[in-house]
Amino acid sequence: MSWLESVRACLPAPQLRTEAQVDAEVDEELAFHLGQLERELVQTGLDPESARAQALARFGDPAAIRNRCRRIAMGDRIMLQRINFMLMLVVLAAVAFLGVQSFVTQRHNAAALRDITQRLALASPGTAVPTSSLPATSEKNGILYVAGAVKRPGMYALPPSGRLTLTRLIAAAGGLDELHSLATVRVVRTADGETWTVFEQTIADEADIATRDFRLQADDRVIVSRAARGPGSADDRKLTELPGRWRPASDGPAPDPGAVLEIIGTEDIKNLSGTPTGTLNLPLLGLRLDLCFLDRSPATNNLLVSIPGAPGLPIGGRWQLEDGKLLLNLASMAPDQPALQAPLVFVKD
Amino acid sequence: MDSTKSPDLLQGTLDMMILRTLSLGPDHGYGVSRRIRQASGEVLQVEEGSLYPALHRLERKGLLASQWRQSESNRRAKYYRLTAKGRQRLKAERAAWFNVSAAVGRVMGVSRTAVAAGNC
Repeated sequence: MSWLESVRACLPAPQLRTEAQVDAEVDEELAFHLGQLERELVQTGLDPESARAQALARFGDPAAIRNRCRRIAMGDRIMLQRINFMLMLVVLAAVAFLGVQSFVTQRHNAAALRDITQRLALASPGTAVPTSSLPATSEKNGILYVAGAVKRPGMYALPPSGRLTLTRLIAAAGGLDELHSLATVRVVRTADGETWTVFEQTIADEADIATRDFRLQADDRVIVSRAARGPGSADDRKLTELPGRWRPASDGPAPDPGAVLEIIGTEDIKNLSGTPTGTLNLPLLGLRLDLCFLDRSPATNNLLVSIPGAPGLPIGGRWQLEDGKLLLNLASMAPDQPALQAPLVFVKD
Repeated sequence: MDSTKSPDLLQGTLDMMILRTLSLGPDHGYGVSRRIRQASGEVLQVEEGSLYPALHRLERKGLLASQWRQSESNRRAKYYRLTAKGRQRLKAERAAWFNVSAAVGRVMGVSRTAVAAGNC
């Protein structure tokens, strides 16, 4: 019997007989045969007892016949059941492996985020050590980024409904920061490798946003900036001072004297999806950070800090130039993490 | 019938004889055994130890189908009948059997007619 015939013979499952049923059927069949044989022998003139003894002697071992019949009836099915069982085990093992792998990766990422945030806290003495990280479930609904003139710039998770408007997001980010004049709110969307502005309005205050509300999507970037400045302004001149090699200032809170900050260039807000423009090496802490210098406004100069090889763990901060010193305030951009208060201070090498 | 000399030949031959017997009408295992014995002129006595495994094997291959019903002695018995597939198989095996037996007969110096008539 070919394997295909075996499979066909064993299907459909609900009609399959159990071993006990097969045995009972064979037993009944053999008992009938034995009874007929006895009757035949009695008809030839033998007494019933002798007839039975002779019939049994001719018949051989009924248990052996039953076993052979059972093997024929069940043999292929037993093998298929074993294959089925083994396949089930393999599938279960694969599912378990994937589950464990996913769990380990999530734990690893969360631990890495905690570790990095704590190291940064050590680099800045006197600051609070963050006790929590961005909840792992946040990634599920999607993340939005807010940068610029808001009180708490950073990453925000979309609510489970997936519905979030600009007004609600800016409110969650603490509202507009020190708004004395007009500001521009811009929403940048990225899809299929393309980035474009889907919303841009100049507003006077928060109430103004509410009248021109806009529905946001996952991965949208909301940039709140001051009214545009002309080229050659004081802020732009400061920006040109950034590129170069910086070392920790002797009077700054830098426990890692070997720290080196190298800024190779500056980019505008487009750099949110671009390449880092600077690196910060903290040899004693065993950390190298990539920095993106964002936003040209002195009140809202944002930094996006990421760990090479761990792009899913961005941290935020702000930069400031004061009397030739560069101050980096590395705060967590996760909304439920306290900011690191004391800035790292650098001077040009 | 000696079941130890040539199992392959005997198994094939027994299967063919069962199919041939059941081509005359449905019957139970005891009936098949009796018919073979009678048809062979009381020469072939099929052992029950070979008969029932053969019946179950043929049923599993789809050459036979079975049904439980009352026998002539008013006891429940399992009746086997030939399926369409079994009928086809019997036709093929019967033709092959005659070819082989005629060939053996020629070698032994017996005519085909004599083999078919059983007068050798």
